[in-house]
Amino acid sequence: MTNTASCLLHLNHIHKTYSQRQGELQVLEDISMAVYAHEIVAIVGPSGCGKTTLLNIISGLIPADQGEREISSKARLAYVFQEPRLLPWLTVEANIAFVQHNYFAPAMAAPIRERLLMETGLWAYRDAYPSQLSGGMKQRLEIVRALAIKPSLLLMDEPFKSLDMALKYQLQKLLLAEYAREKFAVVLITHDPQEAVLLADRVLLLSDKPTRICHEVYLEMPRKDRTLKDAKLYQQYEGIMEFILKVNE
Amino acid sequence: MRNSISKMNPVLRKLLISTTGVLVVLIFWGLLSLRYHPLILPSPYETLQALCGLWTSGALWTNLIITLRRTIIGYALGFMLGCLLALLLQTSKVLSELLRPIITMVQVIPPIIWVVLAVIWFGIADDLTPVFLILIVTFPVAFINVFNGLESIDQHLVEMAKLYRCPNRKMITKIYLPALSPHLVSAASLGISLAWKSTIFAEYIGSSKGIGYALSRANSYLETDKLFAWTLVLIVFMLIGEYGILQPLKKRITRWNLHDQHS
Repeated sequence: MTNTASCLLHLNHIHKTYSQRQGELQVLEDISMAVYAHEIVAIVGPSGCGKTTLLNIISGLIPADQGEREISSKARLAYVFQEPRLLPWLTVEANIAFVQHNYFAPAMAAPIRERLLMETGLWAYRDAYPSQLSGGMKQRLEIVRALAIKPSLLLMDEPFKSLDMALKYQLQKLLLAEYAREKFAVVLITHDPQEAVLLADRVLLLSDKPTRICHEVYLEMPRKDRTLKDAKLYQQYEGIMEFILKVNE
Repeated sequence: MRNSISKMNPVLRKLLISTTGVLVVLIFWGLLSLRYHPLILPSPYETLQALCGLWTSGALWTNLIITLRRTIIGYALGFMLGCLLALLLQTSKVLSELLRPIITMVQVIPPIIWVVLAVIWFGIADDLTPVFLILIVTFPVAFINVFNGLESIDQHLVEMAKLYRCPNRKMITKIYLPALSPHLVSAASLGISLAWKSTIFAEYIGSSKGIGYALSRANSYLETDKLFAWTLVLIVFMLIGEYGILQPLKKRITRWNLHDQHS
């Protein structure tokens, strides 16, 4: 993991402040982190601590005030937004094709898209417009669109939030299957410690504002063997849980 | 009866109700015309006869084509100017602050002042007076609709497209234009009716051809039946424009805006 050749992203002493009517609000303070190829990094922190701001800086959507963001020239970014950002005038299939065609020829894009639509149960809705889909289906489409470009770095901002248990499990399974197949890296924002310990290789714990990285938890157990019944994993889960409760106090 | 209407095909039902409304107006008009002299209120039959007269004399098509041509030219220019200004003002805040009060000033000046000025500037018996009035009256409508449309474009979608390396041309065709299209149709719908009325008004005051001029002559010679016949022509053309062209266009470009079927 420390091999610099496989480093996809490096943030170096990042600071971010927002101007408000009441004055300046420092959101991020001296954040340094790296993301390596084929790893899942979960970022856990209290509500409103600036997790989405951090992900937006990672993606390049917003600039940092200070510090450096280095991203591999080979990195292909995909972003699963917290609220689906779908084009309302395009059908389900056209929404995916819209981003795919920026990377692949149509003939190459179609089989990838079709497979993902079938695996997520969206195939029957391929000609529907987003306004005809439920919230869960829109979120599924958002994830499918991100996976359909075969990213090397997938950014996910609380992608399973407000989904029912069954759908959440199904989408996590899909993510891990694609992760195993395509070997991309994931930065996953979550405030669910269970999700973090079951999916991630590393968990970064953030403080409240001004946000810093307080701890880093390594999860070495093979993902397929992970269960909260395992004493070591449960201990790590409890550690994260305690940290969140303490920060939220 | 009530049940059989509600069970009807929605399109047929709508047509039946609209036709009933028109028939009621026609019957009311017919009954009222029995009480007045044709010089005050001609009957629907006398109006139809006057219309046939305009048709056979060739005056109907000659004037209609002139008015239509002026409306299309003036409106196309006004629409383009409005769109261009909206795009320009969106790109610069200083320009927006500089020009917005001027556009508002142009908008609040009554059309009669513009017609009088146009007659002074361009004279009578010319296409310029009606074209100028249409342009000046319709461009603020197009400007406001397009400007608001540009402001309401969801920046989250633009961010998403940029993140997925969407080229600029595709951004215009797949994001900006579809997002703007309801505003463009709304501008077209509002503007075309304004343009049509403005042409007639300008022709009435400052032209020697067109439906407006024919209306002015009918008024001068107290040919009320012809006045009604021309009004009928105007109404029919407005209805064709609105229900035959603009409404289907609006329906087509906003077909994605369906109600949530999974709520």
